[in-house]
Amino acid sequence: MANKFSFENLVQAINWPERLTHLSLHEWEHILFVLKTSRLEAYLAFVLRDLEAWDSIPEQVRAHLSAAMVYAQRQNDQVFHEGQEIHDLLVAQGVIPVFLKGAAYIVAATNNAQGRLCSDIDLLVKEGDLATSETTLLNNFWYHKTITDYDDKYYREYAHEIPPLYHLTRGTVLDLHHNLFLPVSGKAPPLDQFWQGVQLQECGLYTLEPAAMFMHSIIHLMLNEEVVYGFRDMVDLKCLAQQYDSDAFWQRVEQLAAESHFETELKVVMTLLNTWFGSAYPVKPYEGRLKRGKLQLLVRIYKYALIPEHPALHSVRSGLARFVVFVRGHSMKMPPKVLLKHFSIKLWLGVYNWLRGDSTADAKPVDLGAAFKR
Amino acid sequence: MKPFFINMGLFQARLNDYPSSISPALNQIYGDCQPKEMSDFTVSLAPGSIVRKYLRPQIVFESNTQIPFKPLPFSQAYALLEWGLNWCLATHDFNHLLLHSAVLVKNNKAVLFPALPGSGKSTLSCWLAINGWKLYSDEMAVINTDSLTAEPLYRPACIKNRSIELVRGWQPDATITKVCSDTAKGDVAHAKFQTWTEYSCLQPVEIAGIVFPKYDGDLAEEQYYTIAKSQVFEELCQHAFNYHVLGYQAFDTVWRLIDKVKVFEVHYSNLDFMDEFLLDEVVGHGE
Amino acid sequence: MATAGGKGLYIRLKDGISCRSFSDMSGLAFFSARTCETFFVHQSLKRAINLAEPSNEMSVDEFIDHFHDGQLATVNELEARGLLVRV
Repeated sequence: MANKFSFENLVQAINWPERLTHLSLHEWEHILFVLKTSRLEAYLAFVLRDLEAWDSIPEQVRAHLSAAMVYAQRQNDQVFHEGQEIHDLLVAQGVIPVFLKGAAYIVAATNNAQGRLCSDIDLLVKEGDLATSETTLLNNFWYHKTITDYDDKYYREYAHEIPPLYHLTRGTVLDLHHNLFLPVSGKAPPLDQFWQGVQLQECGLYTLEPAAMFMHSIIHLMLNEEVVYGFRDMVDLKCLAQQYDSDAFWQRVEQLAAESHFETELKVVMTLLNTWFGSAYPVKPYEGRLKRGKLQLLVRIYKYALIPEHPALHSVRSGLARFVVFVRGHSMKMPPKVLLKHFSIKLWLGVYNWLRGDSTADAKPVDLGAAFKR
Repeated sequence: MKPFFINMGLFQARLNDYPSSISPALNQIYGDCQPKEMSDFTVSLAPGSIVRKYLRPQIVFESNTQIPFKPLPFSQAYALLEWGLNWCLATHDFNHLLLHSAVLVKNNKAVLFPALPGSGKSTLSCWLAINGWKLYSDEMAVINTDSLTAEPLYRPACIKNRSIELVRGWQPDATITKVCSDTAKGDVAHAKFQTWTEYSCLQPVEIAGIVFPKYDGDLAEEQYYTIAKSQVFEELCQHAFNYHVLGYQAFDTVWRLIDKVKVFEVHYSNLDFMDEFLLDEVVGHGE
Repeated sequence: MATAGGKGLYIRLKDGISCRSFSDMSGLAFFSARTCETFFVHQSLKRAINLAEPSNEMSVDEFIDHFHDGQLATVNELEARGLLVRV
């Protein structure tokens, strides 16, 4: 590994974890830092643990990997417990709660479930069940945090979603959805096909079928304005593709992509999977030059935007690409008039806080004594 | 700017960016440590924003791109660093049970002093450290969950307000950093009682007792009590930084620890009494 | 061991619950692996309660008798918290 840590080093670590045993301590220091910030440390730790070479990893490094596994396992256990409680509450009201994203991988025990950190629980219910679901949860120790009137209006009016729910004693965050993408955007996919394949997992909780999980992950990745853990999401997709690789699976994925009009996004992701992870999944090219050009442009943008935002990996190109994704994400979520208004309000609030300097992006107002308690 | 390496023994932090005003304190406390080849955390202390570099200057602690605390006034930079290092340990070490407690060692036995406000724990820790005890840690007990031993950390003691003058009085040449005033806890400084060479000789040590000290200057007669172990268990659960992550392992470790060791509550006004008590009742007088 | 008797006369730990006594008989501690929550019963015991094995059952009367001031309320409370089940 060269002295300067690069994105290629990270991709190599994912593709050939057994080669990591040859790293020097100095190189390990770099890669652990990047893995931590991209939320892939625990994932790789579990992969390495299952390799025979675990014992040849330096003890100081193993300490980090072990700690990451303990933490991830604890989150995993918590998702099961929380999920069970939420499931029981909602099913009693005649609602079918379908777990999405991180929680879904854990519930379905997919290949990427071990080491998958999952800070929120995302849940899908039918649109008609949204009000019942919200009321049931509010009556059972879940609550909405006081948010600005603007943000509440954003959620309910623009996004047709409800603001996040928080558990009173456990602090868990629950995002309740009735669609896989914002309805106001005009791009929300018709959900019948997605609901058709809903599966009851071995643990008794519901998830989408594998092809739908795959497509939902793509929609979420490609239509979000923030791609902070985008590379981690690509690793999720890599694992799902490998696990469910079959003609039937890919046919279903294509069908769902066509129904939901997210074929371009699917092609971008498949191209990146092949580029980064050495797979050879077939990507049907577009016919027209304009469409081909647009696809190539998107691949180029996301190739840089999904590089983890880390000091060692930062470049002007990736920063710019992330900005493009930021604008694209917003513009896909809202009609232009709404977008402009939303942007200008948020921009003013952002500048105001920045000038005051009283809070930075992630700072939480914590009592220093209680800061350590999780 | 050259990074400064803070080797705490169990972990090492690489301090990439920091104001030159804290260089004296850094060198006082960590200047003699031997850096390891690999650092476990990458931390920095930087101004909150361009504006805040000059206007009512602030300082922000960052670790591995995370910012856990609100910015503090620039004058509290060193104190923020030490609190930040506590945060790093508490939120990343899930291989040990971490308790909010001081650890003092004598005659190859360790005593835990859980941190309770107003107990005079830090003052007591410093006095014991000056009088023949080894300070394994002032704030955080790092406990091996298999052997129930306490690990030594190369960290200073955090002393506040009146304690600062007391420590100076007990040891005029003690290594104490410049005082940070007007913090949320009043005047804060950090004191070191051993060199890196002395620290390097320390080994993990079996825990012999848990003592809840209660200082009362007006006390006529010292008293000590045993405490119901189920009560101690409940108390310690609340003092464990990573209890909820370790889960069953934490429950089992805390139970094995409490069931094995002696537990006392000691009301005292005289520090010599405390020393004698610990030798008589907890760690023994040694060979 | 449990024999045929009325339902609810015997208790055992719920699945995933651990129980510990203390050497000074000062009370009990329970841990739920599911929720990662810890519960305490600060009542002095005459002798240690053995509920270590999942199959350990004892009659409600026997359980109460372990305490110096044994109360049915303790059993009810532990059941309400999801730590014990009546069989």
